[in-house]
Amino acid sequence: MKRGLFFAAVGVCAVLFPYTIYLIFFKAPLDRKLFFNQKIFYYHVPNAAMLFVSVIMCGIASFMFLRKREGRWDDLAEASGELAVLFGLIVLVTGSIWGKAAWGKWWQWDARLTTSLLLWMVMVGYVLVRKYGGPGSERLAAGLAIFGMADVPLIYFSVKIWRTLHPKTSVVKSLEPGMRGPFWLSFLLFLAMFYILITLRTRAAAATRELRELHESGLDAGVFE
Amino acid sequence: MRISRVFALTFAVLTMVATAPALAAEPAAKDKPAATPPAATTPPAAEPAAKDEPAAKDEPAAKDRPAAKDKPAAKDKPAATTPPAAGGKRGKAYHTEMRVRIACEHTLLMIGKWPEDCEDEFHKDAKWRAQWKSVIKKDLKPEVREAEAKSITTNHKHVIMMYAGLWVIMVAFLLLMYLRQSKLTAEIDRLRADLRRAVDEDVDDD
Repeated sequence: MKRGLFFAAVGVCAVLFPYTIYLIFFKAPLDRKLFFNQKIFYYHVPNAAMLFVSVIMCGIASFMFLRKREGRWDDLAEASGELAVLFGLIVLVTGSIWGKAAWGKWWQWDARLTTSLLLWMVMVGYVLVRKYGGPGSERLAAGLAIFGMADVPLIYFSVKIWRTLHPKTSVVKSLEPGMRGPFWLSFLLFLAMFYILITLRTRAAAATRELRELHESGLDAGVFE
Repeated sequence: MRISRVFALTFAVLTMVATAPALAAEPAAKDKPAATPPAATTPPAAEPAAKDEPAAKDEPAAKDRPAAKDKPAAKDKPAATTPPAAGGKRGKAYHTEMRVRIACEHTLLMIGKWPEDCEDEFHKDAKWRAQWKSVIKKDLKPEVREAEAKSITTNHKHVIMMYAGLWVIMVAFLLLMYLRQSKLTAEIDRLRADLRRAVDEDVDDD
């Protein structure tokens, strides 16, 4: 089942990667205000959604790890934490380029942008704590991931709570009919890509944990020096 | 591993967060009047003048409009004949005047010059006129607008930059993952070899 889902995701990526390029750059209509620059939207928004998915996944897995102390939850949290850093970086870079094209500035200390940067920094902190925190750091990192997850609603509602330069959340609903298809297909593409990455990265995390445990038991048994 | 379950749960949470406020807000939004451009209108003379510069430079709304060819000029707007209410009271007259001013400002931002129908209105309030004069002088020169419109309509550079940036980051991550996996595989092989050697030594000792 899981194996089938993985290969289905690979197939979706293989088909949608060239097809979305064709749709976005050659078929989707130009925006009346931003013209060609609006094409950034088709990549920026799905990546932002994947950032939210990975942060929430990391938070839930961390919570489960703190409750059950099972290594598999920790593996999932580690993998999704790293993906949150990856998608966060993509969102910040593509958003900054959008800002330059639409507002004439690379960066604004706008509520949406600032809260997104804070979330990314929390997730970078999570990865660093895991890597250099020493024994027991996975529990400390789990707390940090839960804290990061609490930032997600704040980012989502920031455009409603404060007056911001960033477009409102209703922008997806108000897309022209010709733009909706390419947008949702692009969303599906990044969702499939996220699934592939999380599966591979979780496997690697599980292998690392098993290796560490094997090494420790080998040392205890006196097999390894 | 329950990746798919956590994945589904995460999506359910996200969907609920995303749709609940939108559904709750929709009926309320219908009652609201149409949004006016930010920091556009300063109150009439009877009211204290707002300190904000009209159509600040950072505002995207004014700058992003390259050429409003598809938007009609407000030629059939009513002439601003009603004076503001005396003593700063926000009566019907005040609101009528504010509406006229907002319409004038919209047209001004769209066509880049003072609309003819708004001449009377502009002459009523010297402070307001001075503010808009400076906006026209600084930001709404036809050549500046044309240059901006051209740069926005023909710009492909930023989309290419974004696309390249996105895939460079993604490929760098995949490369790092591959290198880490290779290191892990090498470590497993080394441990296996150590284990085999240790077992062989034990057999020899026996």
